[in-house]
Amino acid sequence: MLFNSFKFLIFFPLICIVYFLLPYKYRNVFLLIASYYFYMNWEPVYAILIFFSSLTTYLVAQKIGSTTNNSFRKGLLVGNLVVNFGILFVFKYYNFLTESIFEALQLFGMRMQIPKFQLLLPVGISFYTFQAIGYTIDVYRKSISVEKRFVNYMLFVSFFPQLVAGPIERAKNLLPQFRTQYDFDYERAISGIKQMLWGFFMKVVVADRVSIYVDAVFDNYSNHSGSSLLLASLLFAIQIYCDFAGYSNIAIGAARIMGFDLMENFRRPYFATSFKEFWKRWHISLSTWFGDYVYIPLGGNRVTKTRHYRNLVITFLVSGMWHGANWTFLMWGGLHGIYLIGELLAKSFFLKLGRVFNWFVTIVGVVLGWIFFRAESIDVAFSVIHRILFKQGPLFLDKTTLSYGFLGVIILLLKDFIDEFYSDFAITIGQNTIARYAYVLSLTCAILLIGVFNGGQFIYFQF
Amino acid sequence: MSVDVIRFVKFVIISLILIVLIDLGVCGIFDKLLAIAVNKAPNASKTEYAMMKVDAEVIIIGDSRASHHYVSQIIKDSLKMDAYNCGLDGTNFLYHYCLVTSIINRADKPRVIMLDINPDEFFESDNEEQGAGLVELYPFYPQNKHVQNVIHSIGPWEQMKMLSGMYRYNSRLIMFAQRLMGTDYKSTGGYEAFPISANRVPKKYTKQYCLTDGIKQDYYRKINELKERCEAEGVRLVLSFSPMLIQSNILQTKVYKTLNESVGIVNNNDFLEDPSLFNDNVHLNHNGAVEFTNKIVKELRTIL
Repeated sequence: MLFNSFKFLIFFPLICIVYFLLPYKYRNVFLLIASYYFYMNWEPVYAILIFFSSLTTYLVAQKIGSTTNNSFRKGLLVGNLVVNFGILFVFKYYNFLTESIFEALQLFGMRMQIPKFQLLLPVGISFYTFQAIGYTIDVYRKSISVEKRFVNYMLFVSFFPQLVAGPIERAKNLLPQFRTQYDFDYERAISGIKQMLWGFFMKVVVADRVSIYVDAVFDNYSNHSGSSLLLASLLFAIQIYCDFAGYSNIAIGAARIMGFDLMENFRRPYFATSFKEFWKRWHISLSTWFGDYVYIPLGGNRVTKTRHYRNLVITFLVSGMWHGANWTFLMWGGLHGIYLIGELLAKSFFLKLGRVFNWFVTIVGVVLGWIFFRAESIDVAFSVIHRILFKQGPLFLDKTTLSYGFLGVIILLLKDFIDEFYSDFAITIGQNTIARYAYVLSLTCAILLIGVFNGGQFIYFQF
Repeated sequence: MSVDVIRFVKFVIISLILIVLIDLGVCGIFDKLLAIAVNKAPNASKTEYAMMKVDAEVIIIGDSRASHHYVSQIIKDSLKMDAYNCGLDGTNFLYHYCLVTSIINRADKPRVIMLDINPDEFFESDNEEQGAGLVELYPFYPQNKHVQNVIHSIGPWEQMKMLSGMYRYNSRLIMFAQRLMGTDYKSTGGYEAFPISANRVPKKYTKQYCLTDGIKQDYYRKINELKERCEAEGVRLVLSFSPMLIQSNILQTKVYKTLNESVGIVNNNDFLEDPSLFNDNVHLNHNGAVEFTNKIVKELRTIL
């Protein structure tokens, strides 16, 4: 079920009403059923995978928690990682790997038939797999206690607001919330509605609008000038931010209405003045996951400089691969690893240049990365960059799309600017009753009047 | 019931009432704007003009490919019949179906309706949004039963969305402004030329289709229904496949054969092969449009 579908507009209020009417002891079971129903609207059979992932990680964590033998605990953890990453590998990476091997062999004049699977990628598999694995590792590290109730644990893995595109929650944050009894809270509900509406605005008014231009140009890049491709690349940066942060806002808002606090996933990333800061603001739940479970176990920055740089590159390459089975994502991840190393090497130089210059360098680097992220292949990405640099020409102008798109972008920048630099003002005005009505009504009207209602699913669903 | 619940219910009810009032107000303003647009610049707004006023003897209906491929003036000069091209970017077969049914139900009927078919639209697809190509017709929903029937056939959700006036006028504000200030399509008979560019020669490519895709039976039924209704109203319905620079494949050929056997098609999409006549893979440039229209006129002469 898509958040931006009419079905969800009926589903969510109904779930909230029943949830708060039910006695406390039945609420988690109800939310679990609702979450599976939500997921099964896509491909019902793939709900089995979520159940299997939940069951294996639950049982292994129980065993790890009750055993003191360290080698046995380690063996259980490794076994669990192999099983869960194995499923992820089969569905997401197997065909990519076999194709890559096939192409590599062809380079040496060899041919080999490697069987391929015709499998549909289960929506959100990378998100819930990482969430479940994070829990097992936390139990192994003894940083959290084992969850006894299977219902609570299943709900932790499948909680519908964040099931298919995050935020990737940590057990220590979300699991205790399923053990707490919540009463309806007016302030939380209003705040949740406001955040959901802002998420809808980002997705429907901005992301889906600018995507019309981006798709028109990128899908036919060889017929477009460098100026059009540059504009499309900048707009893709806006699109992916609004698409993904929009989803996160809807998820966080929906959970808040029901009484749950999900972690912040985006903090106005394009205001970052360094790549390090960008990763503290972009897809925070994934960056911190990789920080905690990949970068720090590799040694983090408490090692020699060379090993530190190696750790950065490995972490970002893995992050790139997490996004998808394509060399373009690997390149995107690798680029960001290189950016961070460059930033560390030239730290004193960048400090002298001031915030505006640093912001500009960060934006240029990030947009360059997005070209690889958006392109179908590395060759296409380089062709796009080549055209931007050397094939200038008339700008493709889709006046209607660009007019509404820029209107949405201006509103977006204005809100992000106020939240970034005048957060106290935003909080104060947000508590005023008239301002609340004005906010809700103006966003609803903007969505109805200038939103795109056939924009389709969120970009991050494919990951 | 707790105080928080009562406060929240109050907030929701007041918000909903205000939204309904704003919706009615905005819809009223847009209704007026639509009337002004049609009265002040009747030929600047293709959908409104086609739905309410077009009185040519030959009417061309289709998507962007129709609007860029059929030169109305050539048809007018060659057949000595007034021609108007109602082709519009971003529209789909359901939009064209509504237009044909609305036009043939008017007292002032055309002699010929030429319907440009996009064969790709006739394949089954799981994730398509049929409502997307109909947005131009949403303002006509309250009063036009053909539009109502098509929108209702899409599903109950689409019907519910139509309750909102703002939704019906979604993304129309700039369009109204453009229409009041912009192009007068009457001067070109609705034809919109793609300029010729020597630097812009597209390459032919093969489009990938899912082999399990079949022809949409609903669309096939609608085509046959249009043929019968046009015959009953004394209007000649002519189907046309305008050229594409895409390797024809088994599925496109299947659509062509199916429609040709039941309704008849005046040309097929292997018609033009020269890339220099194209603006992109699916649109002819002005030279291509002139050549294509001349060929269409010859075929029309044999059947009219």
